[in-house]
Amino acid sequence: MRRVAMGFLLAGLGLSALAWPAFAHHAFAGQYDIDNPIQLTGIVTKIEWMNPHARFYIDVKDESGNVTNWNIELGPPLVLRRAGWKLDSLKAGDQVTVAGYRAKDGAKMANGTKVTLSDGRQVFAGSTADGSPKP
Amino acid sequence: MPNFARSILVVGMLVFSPWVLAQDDPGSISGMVSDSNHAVVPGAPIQVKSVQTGAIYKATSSSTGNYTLGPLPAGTYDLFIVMPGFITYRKPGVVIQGGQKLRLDIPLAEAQLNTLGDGREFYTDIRGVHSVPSGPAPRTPDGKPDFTGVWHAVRDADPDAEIYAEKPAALPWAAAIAKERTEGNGKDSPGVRCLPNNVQPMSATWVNKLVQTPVLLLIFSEGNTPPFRQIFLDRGHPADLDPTWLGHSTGKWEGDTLVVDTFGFNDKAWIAPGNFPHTEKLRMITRIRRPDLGHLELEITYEDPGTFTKPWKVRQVADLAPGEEIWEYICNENNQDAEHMVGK
Repeated sequence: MRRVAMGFLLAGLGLSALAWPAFAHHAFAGQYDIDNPIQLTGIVTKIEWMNPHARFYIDVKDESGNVTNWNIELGPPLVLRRAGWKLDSLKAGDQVTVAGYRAKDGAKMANGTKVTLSDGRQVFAGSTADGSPKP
Repeated sequence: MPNFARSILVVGMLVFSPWVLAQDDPGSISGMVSDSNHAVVPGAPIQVKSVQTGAIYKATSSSTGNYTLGPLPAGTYDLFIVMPGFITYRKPGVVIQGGQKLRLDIPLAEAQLNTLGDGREFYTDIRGVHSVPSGPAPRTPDGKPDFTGVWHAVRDADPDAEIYAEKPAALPWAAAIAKERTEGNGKDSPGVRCLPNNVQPMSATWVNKLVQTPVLLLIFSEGNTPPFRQIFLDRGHPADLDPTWLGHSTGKWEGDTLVVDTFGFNDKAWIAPGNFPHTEKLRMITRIRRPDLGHLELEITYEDPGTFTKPWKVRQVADLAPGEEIWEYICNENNQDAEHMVGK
């Protein structure tokens, strides 16, 4: 029900003739599916502190023991840096849980909306929405 | 009962009945504003405009997301919320009867999926008003206003411009393309492929840095491709301009306003806001002022008879960003997105 409602919202209200393009590089809704939220837990294998988006990759093991490498997209380094995330905020080998939305085209990709370390600390918990101080 | 007496009774019943009194009683609209995760949204500016009188009534959602608009005279209202970080909410034709207390919960949709570093917080800051130092605008040794400085991304001069500003009179072909681009979440935007996103002189997304000399104004926008604009103050346009993405810019002072004429565009970049296309006939006139130390004002006029039936003005303001600096951004360093863009 909620998926239907949200789809309607985006379709019906996003058509403002004067709206600024609400994206720096691309609209995340053009690539990722708000109706397909995902939560992944795995080990960080690689970090790409690069443009136009910083990325990190995690190995996620399913119940059968099969491992899939997921590509997690973030904002660009210059924005992450201003908001308090450093190059070493996340390291290869860290176990993390990522919340985000899956790519619409079915690729093993997701955008990252929340990244939590195994000890419960939230990486980049600098947003006021989290109510947390900047790291 | 004589007819006359009956009439008096009927009129009396109407005048003194609760129903008639209620028509003169003000009504109200109240409810809760929430986001796509059903979390409350405090500080949302809710406004209604009376269809009958044009009067505007405003309220702001509380820390618990609740709001009450009123007292409102009975009538029909168009309701809006324009809030940085969210898609503008519109609900036209809300009818309020006399004395009615209408409950209206409002779900806002994020303008971007709330990606870390590129989500609601980011865009709320970009589109928001920043505190700036006060004082007069600095001047160059030759007495001109000095635009030099690091500036936040430009925003609409009127925060409600999306609702109330002049609408572009686009030709049908251009309006159709703009609609398709917006509905498709900008999937074919040149920026997705690390090409110039739009033609406007200062970025609405990235930090801008202006460097002014007597003969040249340079505008650097850290995330743009290319990241610089040159505005020549000592010459006109060359006679044999080749069309380019961002055109050729010259500037002349009219008092304290720098009037920038940009011409010689190709037709590849988009016009923001609105995702409009343009033709090679586009001429962009930008009037830049620095009314005080902390603000830069831009009035951009898009003149393109191939796209619009009359010139279209857009007014913007940028806040000074003391202590800020622009950063390197090499867009095509690791661009994986273009091949995964689906659109709707």
